[in-house]
Amino acid sequence: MFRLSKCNPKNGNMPSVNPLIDMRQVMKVYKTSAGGYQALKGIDLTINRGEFVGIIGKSGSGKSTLINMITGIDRPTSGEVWVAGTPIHLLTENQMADWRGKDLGIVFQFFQLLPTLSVIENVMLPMDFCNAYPPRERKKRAIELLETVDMASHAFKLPSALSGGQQQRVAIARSLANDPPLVIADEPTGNLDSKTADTMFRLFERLAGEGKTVVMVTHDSSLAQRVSRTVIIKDGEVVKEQSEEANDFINTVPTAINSRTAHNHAVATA
Amino acid sequence: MAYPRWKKILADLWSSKARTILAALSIAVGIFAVGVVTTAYFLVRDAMVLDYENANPRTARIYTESFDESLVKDVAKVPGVTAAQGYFDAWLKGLGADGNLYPVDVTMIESLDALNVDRLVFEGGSRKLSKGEIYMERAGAEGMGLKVGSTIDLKGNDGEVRTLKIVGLVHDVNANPFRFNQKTAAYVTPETMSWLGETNLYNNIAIITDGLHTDINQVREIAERAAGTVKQHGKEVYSVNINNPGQHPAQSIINSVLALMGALAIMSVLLSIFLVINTISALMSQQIRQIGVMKALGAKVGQLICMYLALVEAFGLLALLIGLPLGALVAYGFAHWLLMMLNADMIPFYLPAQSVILQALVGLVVPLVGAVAPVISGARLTVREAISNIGMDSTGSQGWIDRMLASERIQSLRWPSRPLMLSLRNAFRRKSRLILTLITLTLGGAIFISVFSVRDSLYRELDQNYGYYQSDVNIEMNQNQKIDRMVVAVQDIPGVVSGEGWLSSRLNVMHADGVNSDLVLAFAPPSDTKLITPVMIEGRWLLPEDENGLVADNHFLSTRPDVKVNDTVVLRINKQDHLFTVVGIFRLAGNSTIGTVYLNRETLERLSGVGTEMTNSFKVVTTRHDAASQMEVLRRLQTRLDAKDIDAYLQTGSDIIASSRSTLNMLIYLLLFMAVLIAIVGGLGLMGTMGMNGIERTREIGVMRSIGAVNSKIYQLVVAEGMFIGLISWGLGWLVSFPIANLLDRQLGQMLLNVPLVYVFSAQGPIFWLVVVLLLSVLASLMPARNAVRLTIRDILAYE
Repeated sequence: MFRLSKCNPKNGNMPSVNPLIDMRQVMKVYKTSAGGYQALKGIDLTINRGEFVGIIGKSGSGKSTLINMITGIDRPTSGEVWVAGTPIHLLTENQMADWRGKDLGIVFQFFQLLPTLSVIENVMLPMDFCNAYPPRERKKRAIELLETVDMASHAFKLPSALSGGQQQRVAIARSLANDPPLVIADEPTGNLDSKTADTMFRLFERLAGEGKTVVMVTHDSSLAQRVSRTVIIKDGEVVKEQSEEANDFINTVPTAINSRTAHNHAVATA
Repeated sequence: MAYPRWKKILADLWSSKARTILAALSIAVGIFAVGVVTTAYFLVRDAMVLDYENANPRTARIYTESFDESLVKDVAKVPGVTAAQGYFDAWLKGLGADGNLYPVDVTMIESLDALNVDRLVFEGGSRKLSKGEIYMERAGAEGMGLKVGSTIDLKGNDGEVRTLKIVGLVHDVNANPFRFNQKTAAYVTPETMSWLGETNLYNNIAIITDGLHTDINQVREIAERAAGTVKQHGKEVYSVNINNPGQHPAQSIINSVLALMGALAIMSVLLSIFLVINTISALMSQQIRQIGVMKALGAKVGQLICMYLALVEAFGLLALLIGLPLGALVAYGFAHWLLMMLNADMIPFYLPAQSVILQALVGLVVPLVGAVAPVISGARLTVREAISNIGMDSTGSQGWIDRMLASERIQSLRWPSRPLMLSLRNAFRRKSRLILTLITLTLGGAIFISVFSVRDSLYRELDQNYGYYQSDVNIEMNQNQKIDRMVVAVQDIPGVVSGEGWLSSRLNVMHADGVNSDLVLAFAPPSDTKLITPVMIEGRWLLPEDENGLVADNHFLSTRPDVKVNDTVVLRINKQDHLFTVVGIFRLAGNSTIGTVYLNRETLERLSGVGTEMTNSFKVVTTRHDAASQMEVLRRLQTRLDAKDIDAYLQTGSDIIASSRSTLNMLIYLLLFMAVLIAIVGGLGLMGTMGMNGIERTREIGVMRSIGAVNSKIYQLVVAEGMFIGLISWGLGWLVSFPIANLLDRQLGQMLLNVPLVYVFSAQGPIFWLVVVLLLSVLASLMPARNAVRLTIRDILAYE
């Protein structure tokens, strides 16, 4: 079976001693017309290499803000975020883009494939931006990545010709384009039916199995139970880090899922 | 395929065809305008230079007593004179194919080949000119309906009518363009000139001077030396005329036209820049989410800037492909029309390199400059800002307008309705976009409205000309007549109310050196004339007691800018110099190369020695003043004068006005052409921005439909928003049109009349622009709304 990533002796199934992600006293305050709103209240969190971590929380709990801190999409008001020894809270936008392209794969809830590029071109785009592979190898690698997500036969179609599940498979292939050690997925199954979501989850499990560190925000109670560790966020703080408690929490989640989905729609239409 | 980011640029171009076309057209408009103006400028300039240079034009002309070829040979030897040619011409009247008499300036020439100054260009027929034969100037022949092989009846100054055979057509660069004043030129041999009852000796000598022909002082110095030689031959020098040496006779008209065109080009480029900035910012705000995704995938700011600037350059290239050939085509047509009006030949078409470079700058550099700010700000957004779509044009900002529209008091009003209020709020929602749209539309509207105002200012000038041509029929006589005799001759003719006896003459205003002079048209009405309502620029009109007073027009000032009110000038009348005080400067519209002065008839009678109560220009007032009635009376007058054996040339007041209107009409057509072009530019801008606004709001339209808005309501909302923006821009455009119109009035007036045009408010401009803006607003809003309502809600909500 084709491995999703190049074999890296450092990436084993077992977490290494040094954490891949190290968040220290991360605080985030948003300015609103009603005053300051504290989204994260001094978070301390470490995630080791090879872990498959699920971030769980109600709508507005701060889990997306937490993910944004790790991906560098947003910056902490105070505190430090270290990823693989890189202090990303100190990077400039350009350094951040470079780091993100090489060391991080992102999977969005709404897939976010570029609509005017074909499937294979979408997968090749990160390689192009980061100049990660020689140009003549990029196509071959993109096809191989698409094969692993069973999308090679759709390589030359436009995203609009694919179903939601198919688009998310392509998005996963794209997140692996530059073979990053870390994959961050923000509710990757939130917009998919349960069967497709399950298939998608298996892909993430496989990635984790192959040594990638996967951090995923999810509401799906059944899926949340399958991660190696759950981090529960409430009111901007990490309240639990055990899977049993997570399961208890997840049983109460349907309301949260609905409100979260509505929120996403609202943002998308704004 | 190795570089998907470049593929994305191409795919973006191709997948959003409407947007691509709009963006390319916005840029193409600027390229087109610059192309038309610059290409036409170079074509006209080169054609006029060629036309002028082909004639080997004179730089000075010396009027003297009759002389023969020996004087010409001696003048040609004067240091600094490179060529000399003797001339004699007489104004006769030629019968056109339409039965009307036209003034024909008949010039004596030995042959076409013998001319070495003010050469004629042979246009067809026989190169050999014999007795009883005539060459006609081509524009005059065409205007009078005459051809080579046909004959022309010429009425001589002795009253005899002689028939001459037209054996050839020539082009005379110095001849009055027939289209402007219905006068023409013709050429006969000395033998024929004698047969026509005129002398066969020369009375003026045209010379070409050495050195730079535009250096008037050098030309004057050499002309003075040549005049000295004339005096050495025992001949009295009447005057030395140096009229804009080195310049085409129609240069001032061309300058006015080109100045207007230049103004148009600058305004179009300015408009185009705003259109481009507008288009690119709209494009960037559509692309924000994709920019966020690309940044999340590792795209650096520099890469994104390069990508989007490349997209802008692609729009520019497309625009060049559209604008360049279209501009060249229209420029060729325009130059052709202008040259035809000026009786000059069109040169073979070519694309001037300067024009292409300028168009390339407008097409490739201006968009780049315009796009830099929106592209950089788009590319520098953080991923969070981009993905959550709150970046470039914040929707959350609450200005006083937003607060006012959202206030409880406004919300509790019965009118405007909720959907209309939503349209108003939407219009103000994206403020930077609104400002850009408004700047573009305001500028377009302001130029459009001001063009109409300038046109009306020109019309006003023309209307004021009636003040100098209040007689209904003018009778110009070859011999002075007693006023009493004329009154008796015309008073019982039906339709005639009264008559006034004037004197008119061509006089020389002498320079301080006593040799050089400027020719002026002098009119001497009776001191109690009722046929003039002058428009004074400075000083006052003549009073009966102004024995040696004169009033001069604005054209006189362009040849003698040193002259002010209360200054004295020297007029040479009947070979004697007389001092006159300038008591006023009056305003006369139209394009004239020589000035006009008025003095009291009694003074001119006395100084010219023609006797008392004499006239050579009799003005008749009729009961009715329309062109047809004037013509009817003219015919009766002609019959009566023929019966009384009074040789005269008759012209109606309407014809004189029409003739003075012709040059200004050309500028008015040009202004209207400008207005149409600006309307297209502004219209495209409006269509573009509204279209882009609409495309951006597709998702919002989907949401509204999902909560129950029917299609008609969606149309109503979007169209109301478009019309609202159009209306604001209309009001602002009207305000901005005042300074623009004033600026154009000043520039154009200075160039045409030597004084600024007076601002005139034109209601047509704002009304036409309101109609244009509202129509375009509706059209531009309907298109994207129509597209949006045709999509399913699911498609719209997934819309990128």
